[in-house]
Amino acid sequence: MTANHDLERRIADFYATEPVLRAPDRVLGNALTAIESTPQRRVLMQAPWRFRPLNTYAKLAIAAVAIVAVAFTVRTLMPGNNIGGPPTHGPAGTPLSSPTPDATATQVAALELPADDRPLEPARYYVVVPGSDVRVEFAVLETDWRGNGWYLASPRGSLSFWTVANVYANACEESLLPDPPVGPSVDELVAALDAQENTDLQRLDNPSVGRYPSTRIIMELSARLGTACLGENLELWVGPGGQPGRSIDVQEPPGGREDVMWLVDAGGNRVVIGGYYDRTAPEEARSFTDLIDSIQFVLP
Amino acid sequence: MQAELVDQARRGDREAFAVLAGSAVDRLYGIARLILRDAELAEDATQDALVRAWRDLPALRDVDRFDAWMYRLIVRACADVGRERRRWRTEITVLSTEPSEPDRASDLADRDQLERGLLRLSPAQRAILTLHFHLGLSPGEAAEALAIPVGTAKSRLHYAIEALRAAIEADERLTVGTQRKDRTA
Repeated sequence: MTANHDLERRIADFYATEPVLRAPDRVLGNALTAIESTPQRRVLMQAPWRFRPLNTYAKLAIAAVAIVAVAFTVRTLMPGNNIGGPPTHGPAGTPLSSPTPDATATQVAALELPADDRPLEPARYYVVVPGSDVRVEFAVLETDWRGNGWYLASPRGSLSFWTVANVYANACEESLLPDPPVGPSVDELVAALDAQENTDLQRLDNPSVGRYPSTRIIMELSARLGTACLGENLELWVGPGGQPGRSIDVQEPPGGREDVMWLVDAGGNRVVIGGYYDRTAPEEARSFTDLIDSIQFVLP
Repeated sequence: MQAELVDQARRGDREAFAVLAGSAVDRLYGIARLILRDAELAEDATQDALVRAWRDLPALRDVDRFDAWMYRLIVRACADVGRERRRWRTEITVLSTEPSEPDRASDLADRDQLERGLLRLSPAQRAILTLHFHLGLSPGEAAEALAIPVGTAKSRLHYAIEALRAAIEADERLTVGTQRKDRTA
């Protein structure tokens, strides 16, 4: 901890003594010249993520093109056509339905999710869940997702992948980690999060993810926070080796977004998939469920 | 005052936008220099961010979040510029000033070590360090600026610090001989 503090102090000192820079005049000049010929993206002020209203024929035409395009992309990228291969079985569990391998099918290799916030092309990507050897493959169908290593983000929210080593007994007290730590099963994790002080857990349903069973939950602030909750966010859990885990902001999240999580038992490997989006917004919700539905696990 | 300008600009008022851009350009350029560690790339990223700001401003729902929104744009622009140009890996721009007194040599050495360590990080890692340590944004504020959950921002910051630590240690292993020469020069 001392070494951490020393390095952070050095970093802070470094940035504090950085000279104040003035941008060359050409920067502003070039930008203002460019905007003379740059139109603004016009949106409805009430719903900035939606397009201007269209007449019926235009809507039907666009919908038809979109259906054909999505169907082609989904057929290419989604599992079920043995693209990417059938899931590997772990020693402790089995998928909910047996795969039917097709030796003649073409395998499309998943790309490693970039870690530099770059825009993602529609393709299959994979993440090795931090703190584990479990590989999660998924399809990105929309063009505004950006890759960041263990999570991906879009204007609609973000999706991240976690290994949970232990759960804080009190989300406002980082010093209180139970000993022994939370057990390895999904049910034990759900119970620990449900018992956590200053947060509320809401069970949603039990969808399958990558053909493995999961429990989908929402974690949110308790209606009444304790006096220990003076910070700006509540910590839910820690990863292996004390790596920081997921937290909840005490500020109201923008646009009705929620912390939706899928707790998956992937053949005895517990994987938590953290979503951050507005379930009540159809376009946002569909974007995330499409991604979840495309998941395949590759187990160690 | 800024809120009014933002509202005017997002309705197409180029003069209002010019005022906003003029007041923000130095700050954005400074952030870009810290992320990209290259003056020319920082100019490109700042220009890109300003043009994107003009183009996408109508989509900004809350005019009071203009600054946080601009931080997001400059970080994205730095990521795009850094990736497309791929020059940050090969060009080293030392931003620290020359020491004027011999007894500041150790401070300069420490600073240079951090500088070399930062050069080994990705623009995304330098971005979270810049937002937190240079702009003083809390993880929550950085999360808002980057449109990511707070926990993700904290994890990203943690990993960036650890990556910097590893980079410094790697640099120490590589430059021990050089440092000995410097000390005896």
